[in-house]
Amino acid sequence: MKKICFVILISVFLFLTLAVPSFAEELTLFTDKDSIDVDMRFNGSKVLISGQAPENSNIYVKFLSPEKSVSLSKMGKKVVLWMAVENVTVEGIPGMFQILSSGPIDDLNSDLQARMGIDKNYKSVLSKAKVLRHGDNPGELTGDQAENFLNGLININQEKGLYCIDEGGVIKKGNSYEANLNIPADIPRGISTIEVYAVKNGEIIAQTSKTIAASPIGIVQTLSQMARDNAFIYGICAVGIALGTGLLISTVFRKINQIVFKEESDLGAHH
Amino acid sequence: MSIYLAIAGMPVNIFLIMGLGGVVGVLSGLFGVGGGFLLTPLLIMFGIPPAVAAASDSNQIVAASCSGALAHKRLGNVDVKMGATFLVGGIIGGTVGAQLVKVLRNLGNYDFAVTCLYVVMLASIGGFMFFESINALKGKKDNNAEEIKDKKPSGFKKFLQSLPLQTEFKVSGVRASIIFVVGLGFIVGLLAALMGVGGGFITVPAMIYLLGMPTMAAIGTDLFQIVFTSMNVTFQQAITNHTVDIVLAVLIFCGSTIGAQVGAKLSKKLKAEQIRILLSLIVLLVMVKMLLALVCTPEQMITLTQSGGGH
Repeated sequence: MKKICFVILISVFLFLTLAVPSFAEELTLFTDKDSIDVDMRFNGSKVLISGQAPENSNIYVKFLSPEKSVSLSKMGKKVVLWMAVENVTVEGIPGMFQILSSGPIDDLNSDLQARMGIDKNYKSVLSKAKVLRHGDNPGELTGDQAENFLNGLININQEKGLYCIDEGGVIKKGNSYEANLNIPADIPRGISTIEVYAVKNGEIIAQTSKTIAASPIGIVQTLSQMARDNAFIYGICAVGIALGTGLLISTVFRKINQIVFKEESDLGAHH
Repeated sequence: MSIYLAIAGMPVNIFLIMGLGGVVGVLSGLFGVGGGFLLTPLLIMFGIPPAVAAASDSNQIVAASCSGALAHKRLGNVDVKMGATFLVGGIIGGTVGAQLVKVLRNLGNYDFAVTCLYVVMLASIGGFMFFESINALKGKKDNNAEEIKDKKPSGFKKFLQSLPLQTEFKVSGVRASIIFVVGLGFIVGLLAALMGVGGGFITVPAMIYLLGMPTMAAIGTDLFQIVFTSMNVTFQQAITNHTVDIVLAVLIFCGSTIGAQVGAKLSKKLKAEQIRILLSLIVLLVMVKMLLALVCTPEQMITLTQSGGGH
């Protein structure tokens, strides 16, 4: 009897485990980490994305971080010196935006591109952005003026690795896919979204998404929170730590000088 | 090895930052001058936001100057009355300066203002040191200081003597107007906040040549005022601009202390005039690098407004 039960259990187990890949239309999404921790050793990060993909489909991955307003300056020449001549704030634009795919974006028709928010020129991102001018003549910029600033911002973000479009960044192996998201060190704090689309014959056949939080932890969190919310105490601590470190280290060096170099003077170099 | 700076909001290489502190420390140990005026521009060159660089530099100056000030106090080189009068201006200047930083940052031109100030200041200091050392090498070694003391600002000195509120400063053995001392303190405090410097390069010559104080008293009193001015600036920057990065300051300070020890030992083996020419050339080099950034066409016409990190 025991033997029969055991055989049945094994068969059920095998059926369940082996059965999963046979759901050919399924799209799943796994990440190797659930959060991006900004600690003292943080120097950017990588998030490995993987999952099941429907057969013969192309996979499009979109990473979208929270919106972050950015101040930009336009440089201009005044007499002989280059300085900021116009200052704006760009609102409604994600701090980080990456697209990775296993197939060309051009394979998607424009309607599909708009629905997925995936295109080659960051149109989906830029269409929601507002460019607000500061100074004597405040107001929202439009047309070429706004575009000039927005293109500048895209360039800056691309250089920093915050924005990228990587057709071929998703590797498909049979019914599974894999992609590596490069997270630069100045990823915006907050909850980002990873959206994955499976596209076949010009149609979205499956989609899924997942959130991932980037937040400071440990000393980085303590310090940045304190500097912002308890600036008074932070200021006193900064001064106190400097005084303490200064006196401690100078005492140590005086002792070293006395013992090793047989020097008596305590008037060393100063600032 | 990198470390993430919470306030600057960026990772930096520990050895690079300690190395920069170290280089400036060697120079200050070698030449006996403050390194603040070189450190802020160097930090900016390596990508630290200008506002964070200046504020954190002020923070590390607190650490770097406090032991020296205590040592001079023990030796009786600190004119406390002079220092305290100076500090009245210094504290007001530092507080006004931190607010000015805030205004300039909102205008988007703090960066530009700091770079301009640095170019002017480094050009004056570097140029002055260079020509003075050349003159010294030509053979006017011994009576050089005396000559400047007697010859230079006779008209200005008369003006100083005509200012009201003349007071006796016994430790230094000089008479000076409180208005002038407070005014000088104000300017130094203002520069300390704007540029993250200690201001010794202005205070010491002014005390020696304009007020007629003995050199050691000028240096001791300067260090005394620097401790308090930079403490105030650090605090003001922390509450007004949130730009003081303690970790950055401690890293720089550790580097610069080690560098200063090396520099002090090296200075005993080198000739004074030669190393002064060397320093003046370094200062001028940094100045030219900053000037080029102002006059050359920028690579990108659209840039991020330097807001000093923080998220």
